[in-house]
Amino acid sequence: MDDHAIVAACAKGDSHALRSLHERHARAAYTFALRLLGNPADADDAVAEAFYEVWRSASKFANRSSVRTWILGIVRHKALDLLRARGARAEEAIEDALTDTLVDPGPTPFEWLAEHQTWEMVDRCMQALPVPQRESLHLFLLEGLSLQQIAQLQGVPDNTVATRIHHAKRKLKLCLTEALGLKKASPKADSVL
Amino acid sequence: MTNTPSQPTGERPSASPGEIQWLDRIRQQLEVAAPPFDHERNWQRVAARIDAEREWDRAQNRRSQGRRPWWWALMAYGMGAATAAILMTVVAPEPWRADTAVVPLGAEESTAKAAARVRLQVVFSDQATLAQVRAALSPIDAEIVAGPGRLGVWTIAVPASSADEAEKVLRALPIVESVSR
Repeated sequence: MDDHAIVAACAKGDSHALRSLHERHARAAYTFALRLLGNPADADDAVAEAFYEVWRSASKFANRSSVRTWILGIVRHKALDLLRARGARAEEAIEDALTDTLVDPGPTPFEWLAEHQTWEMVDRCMQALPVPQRESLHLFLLEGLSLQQIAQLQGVPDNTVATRIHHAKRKLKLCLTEALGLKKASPKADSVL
Repeated sequence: MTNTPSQPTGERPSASPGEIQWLDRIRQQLEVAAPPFDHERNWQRVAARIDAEREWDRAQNRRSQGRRPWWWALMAYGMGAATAAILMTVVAPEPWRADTAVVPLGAEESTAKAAARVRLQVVFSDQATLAQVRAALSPIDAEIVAGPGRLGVWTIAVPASSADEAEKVLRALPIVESVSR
């Protein structure tokens, strides 16, 4: 049974169908929520809330997107609600992203970074990104969504998503460079860069 | 669904091969970095909320129906309809009986009928019952016209053709004290 048929069954009150959806998509939802929230307990909350919302609004699913994208959109709303409840200011983060004066770390060889960076560094640097950039990069890299799909999910123009991903990559590269002790000003960094 | 940046889905930002390789490495490391997800525990949380919602709905339904069985409303409607039908029969005018002549016991006789009858003044004994009075009047085709008055006098009408005979019959009865024209 495909996802759309399962959602239709959910709309008729079939909780077994919801369980099937949960089995298929909860892990991706959790990874996404965790990326936004940075806290496993909060991510677990967001996923549970999101699937309850899926259950309640299954009859409103309009088949305009994939079920995965629809679920991730609901997870995103729940995660942002939690972020607001925690006092995080997503709007400020967006402003930061658009007006940041980050210095590009320069032509650090990607191959060198890829070889030396650790998953702990990547995880930490990813969490240091502003929420909208982190979210866009996650959906782009781990969910394989297109710019249009991400834009639809975030409710922003395609160009905004492209800008967010661009900034996210730059900041991630800088953060990893610094984490590896290859700051631009240092002699060691100069030798590598 | 995890596509590598080198296997784009839809429109994707352009990137150099080195950057694509780096992003692919980032993706792999982020997947490793993801802590384990307790699928079953999360599902139990969702299921508990759905159960709670269903229980709430059931409670609301019970409240709205006053805990009455499904046939209660049907029975109440039926009883209401039956009551209305009875009231219509007993109280309301009956058009289907419009042609039925209703003759009050004490109604005035028509002039022609009155002319063909003779009136008699009868006094029954104090012990006479109504049943005995009826039994006395019925064989002689008498009708009560008025009475009894303050002195106990009944005015009756009998057919003029048998008035004498009626007078004799009445006088012969033990419950009759007097008969006069």
